[in-house]
Amino acid sequence: MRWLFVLPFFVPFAVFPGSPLIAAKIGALLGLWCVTGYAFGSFVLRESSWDLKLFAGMAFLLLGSGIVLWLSGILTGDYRYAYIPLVGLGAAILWFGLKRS
Amino acid sequence: MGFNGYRFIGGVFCKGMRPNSRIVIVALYVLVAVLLLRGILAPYGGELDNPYPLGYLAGDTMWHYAYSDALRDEGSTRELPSFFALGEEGLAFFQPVIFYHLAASFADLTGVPTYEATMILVGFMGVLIGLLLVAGVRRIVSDWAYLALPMTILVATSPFVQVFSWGFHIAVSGFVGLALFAVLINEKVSFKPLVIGAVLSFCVLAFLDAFVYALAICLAFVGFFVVKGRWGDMLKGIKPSLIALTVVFVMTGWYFLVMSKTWFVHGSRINWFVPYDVPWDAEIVSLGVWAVPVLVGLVVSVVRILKDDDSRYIPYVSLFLLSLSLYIGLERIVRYNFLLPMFLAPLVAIAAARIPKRFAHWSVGVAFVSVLVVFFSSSFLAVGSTMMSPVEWYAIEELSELSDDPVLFVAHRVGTGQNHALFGLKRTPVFVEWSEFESYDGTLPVKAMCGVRRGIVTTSLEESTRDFDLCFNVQNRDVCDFSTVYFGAFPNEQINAIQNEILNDLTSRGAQPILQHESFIVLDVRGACS
Repeated sequence: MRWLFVLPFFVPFAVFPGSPLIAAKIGALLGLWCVTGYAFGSFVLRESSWDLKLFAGMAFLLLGSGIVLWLSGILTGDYRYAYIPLVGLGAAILWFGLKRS
Repeated sequence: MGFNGYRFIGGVFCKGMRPNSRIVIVALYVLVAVLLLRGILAPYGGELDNPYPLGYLAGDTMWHYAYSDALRDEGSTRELPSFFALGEEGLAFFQPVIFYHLAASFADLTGVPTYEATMILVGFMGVLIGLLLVAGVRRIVSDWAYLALPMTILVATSPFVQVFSWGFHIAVSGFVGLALFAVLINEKVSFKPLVIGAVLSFCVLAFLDAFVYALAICLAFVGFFVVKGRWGDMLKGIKPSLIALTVVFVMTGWYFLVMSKTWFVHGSRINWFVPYDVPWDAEIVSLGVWAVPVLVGLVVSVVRILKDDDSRYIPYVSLFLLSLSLYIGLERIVRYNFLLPMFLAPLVAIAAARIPKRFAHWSVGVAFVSVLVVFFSSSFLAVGSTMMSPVEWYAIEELSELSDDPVLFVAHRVGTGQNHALFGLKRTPVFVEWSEFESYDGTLPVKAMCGVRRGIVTTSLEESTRDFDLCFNVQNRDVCDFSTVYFGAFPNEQINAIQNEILNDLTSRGAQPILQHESFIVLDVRGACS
């Protein structure tokens, strides 16, 4: 059923049908957020339902990214430097989380 | 083969599909997310990259845009953007930080303007709160939880939609943390003390009130253990709680230090008893007919807690009790109350679970139909709703490019109640206080709109002795103290007549128009004052 993770990609097209190009970018971001959130949820919420793993994982990653960006801004002077470690962290979460799910 | 609830909806997707199968439930979640976002972002009319901010119905929305956009320019929140403090640099940034960083990154990564990134992001956060709580309560009530989803659509309707259009963005970001806490506290979580500590830290850094509300949920658990005499359970919770609080201390220590010098001492937001000037129409009764299942769910939950010793219902009852804080004078709880369709949805799910089990296979089908019925019978904000006209936004963008000096607004259409709507300028807006105006003699009673607290603190955490009186008090100032003066059409003939008098005086002395439109004129007054 993992193919269902393609669905979030299409959500922005339904919300913003008048701007397909930007909707595609938002969709890509939303899709990545969903799949990484689910992977993280699978990692820490082993006995919970799939939807709770998904939404709790998404919420945790969202707010956690906010803190990483903030710290990056404080420590390096630009929050954008956090994009590189965040991508690495996301990849690691995907690898370990999806192996466990 | 008889008609049943599952085939009624499930058959739409695939004949022979299992009742309430995962694909149908995913489709339901996607439908709710799409409809909610369409409702919340109705002013966009399905279009992105609009040339001016849409859905902005109060000054605070612009405030959050200004912080986020300044962050994109500056790169960090080491310092408060200078335009929040009459151009002064080196002051501590004391606002909750998470939302602004996420909004700035969202704008970077998607290419939408920052003023849209803030609105879209807060919309996503609102949707996530509802879906997260419904998924959380499903642990207790199984598939009945989906019957709570239709109620979440109400958050996109009046009065609740104000949480987005009036700019409670940082509150919403904190409430994502609160919802996550309410759900995780019931779950079996790996490394639970660390995860809960991180979630509480998110609450602190996103919106401090959310942290206090999370502690209130903890207090409810303590009360439950005391009433039930479950001392062993309470003692078992002490060690993980201490670990969690240590995580909070480590992750948020710096922020608490800043807060201890600003909001804790001088501010207003941390004082929940300070009156809050918004209409108090976000209450339980605002849910209309949905208040009935909410109250039924409340009664069921209380019975379960007291009779069956079931502590899993405690977070959901606590979320209800928080909404009642309004009635004991905690007026700022209204920011929470604007999200009641989300926070009380679990109680609807709990009430729905009283329906006989033999109808369980109908739950997702009924939820589908109800979501569509609620959406199509609701009214949302009109397409194009906003407080800023395209031409006024154009003026703001042009002025922000010209200089960093404060701008004197003799009058502006948004009025004195929403002055911070002009923070989009990235120059401190200074306003004439017409209630104290007597006559024009080259000076005017003015007051600056600032983003600093009365206890102004520098980045070295020392209280500043610099004079920021103009930020908080009306003072008579010479028009020549400013380089740029804005005159705007105002719905008061007397004020417009005085504006003309000042305008004529300045232009006769050599002031030059920078921007001109039938509804406003902006003068560079340096020529008239030299």
